[in-house]
Amino acid sequence: MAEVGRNVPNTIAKAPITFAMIELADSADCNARKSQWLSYGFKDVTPKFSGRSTVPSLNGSMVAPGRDMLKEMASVAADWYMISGHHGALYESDYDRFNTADGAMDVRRITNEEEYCGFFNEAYHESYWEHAARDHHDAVDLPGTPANSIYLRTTDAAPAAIASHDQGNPVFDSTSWAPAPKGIIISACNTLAYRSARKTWSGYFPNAVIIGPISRIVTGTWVSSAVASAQATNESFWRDPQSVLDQAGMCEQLEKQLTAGFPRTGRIGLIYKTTLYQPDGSSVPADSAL
Amino acid sequence: MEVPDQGAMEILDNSDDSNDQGPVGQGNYQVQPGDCMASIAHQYGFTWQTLWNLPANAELKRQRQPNLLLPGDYVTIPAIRLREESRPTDQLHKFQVVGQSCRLRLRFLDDKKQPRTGVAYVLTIDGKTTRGTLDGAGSLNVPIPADASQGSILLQTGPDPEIYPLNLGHLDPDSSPTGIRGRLNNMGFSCASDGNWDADLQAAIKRFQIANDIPPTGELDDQTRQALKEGHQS
Repeated sequence: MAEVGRNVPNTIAKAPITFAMIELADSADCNARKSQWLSYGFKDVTPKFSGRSTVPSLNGSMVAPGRDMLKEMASVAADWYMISGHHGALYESDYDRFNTADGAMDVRRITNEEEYCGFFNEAYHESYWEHAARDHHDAVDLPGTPANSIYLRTTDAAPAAIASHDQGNPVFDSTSWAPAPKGIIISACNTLAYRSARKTWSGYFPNAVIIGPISRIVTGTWVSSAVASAQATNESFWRDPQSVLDQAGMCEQLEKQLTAGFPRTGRIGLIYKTTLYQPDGSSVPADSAL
Repeated sequence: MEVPDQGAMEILDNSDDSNDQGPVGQGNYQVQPGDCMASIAHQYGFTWQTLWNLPANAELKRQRQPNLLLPGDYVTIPAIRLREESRPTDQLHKFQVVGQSCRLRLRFLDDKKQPRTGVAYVLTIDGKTTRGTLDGAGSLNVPIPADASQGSILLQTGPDPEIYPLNLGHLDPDSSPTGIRGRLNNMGFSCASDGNWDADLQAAIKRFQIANDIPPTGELDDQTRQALKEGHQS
């Protein structure tokens, strides 16, 4: 409803659609999506770092100043966020806690019960995260701890003390008054496979559209490609996804389109208003076990 | 037209309200949502200039614009006086009623602040429909009845036409939080239409600041207020 005055000029305008990105690892997917959004005329409000035009990466040499950027991310009030990086359990050795009786890895238990999970940068593959254990979380005593380790928790379960490095996740900054984003696109393995992560995402953003893998992925561009190929993601969707997805059957339709654009070796999911929509056409409460 | 005796009505004088966020003026009529001087004058049989220039409405005139009143403001409306004109019989005489029409002025911009030139529109005001095309500034400027209250405009933008319901006269002064909310909403920065200076309004201000390359403080500082005024044009 436009509230207009008589006999005075009134302007009815469209606000630009804004986006911001957090990149923890390979930036190919973020740069692809950034180019696409810019071509749509969207406005990039990602905090600028060192005047770089590419998506700011928290990997490698950009890590230290990247921490300052993370704090700024909470305040840019973007319509859409894209978060990219590695995602998994805090310590891979914790997987042993969920073995079956005969000692085999129980993946279902891991995804349903592991609570200490989040995003990592490349240090995830450089011994620190994979070989340490939660019982030895004092990083100071850990040999070979990479100086540029980053862990952004995606659950409320992981206590601050368990990770030695700054683990503030700007997207989960509940103290910020920044408005909740309209949508969040996650480009990382298994993000929505973890029950605790789904619970956190849907708990913090009960009205946001959340798109992410519920399986391992070979490359983050899978997610960008799937989103780009979904016909439902037109201007109306980007501008006001809630009004689109609130219509009967639209969540199922979007999930179907995302799946059609996703390689069959992976699975992509959609969380909207605390419900997880899955590739097989089913939907369950986001915080339920799979 | 019968007018209540001013002396019997409650008088409110908010002239000392230095922050200019609450109702102002004095008199026997309290401004309702959707009112402007033209609609009030039309209702009571005056021209809006007659009421606006009354000494009793000087405080209102000082703090408001005639077409941007705040609900709760007070207006002094004098008793109407009958005016007699002598004319000979058996002749035709023409009498003209002045100053009772209003105009609707709308400008449409895209998300890059460019005018939406040449878009065909269908405007419906209180059930009456007119058609036209937005001019080179993306604007239309059409006469409407002074007491028109509801309307809508449909922009014929291909298979997905855009429809904007119009709440005529409901734009509040930009010194009030509801006035800021109205302008932000019109310009695409959604927030609740009612409410005070709360987090919801701060968030919309912040989005507006980011879109206009203003440091995103969420506060309505001078730079932001000026940008909002220039953007909305009122």
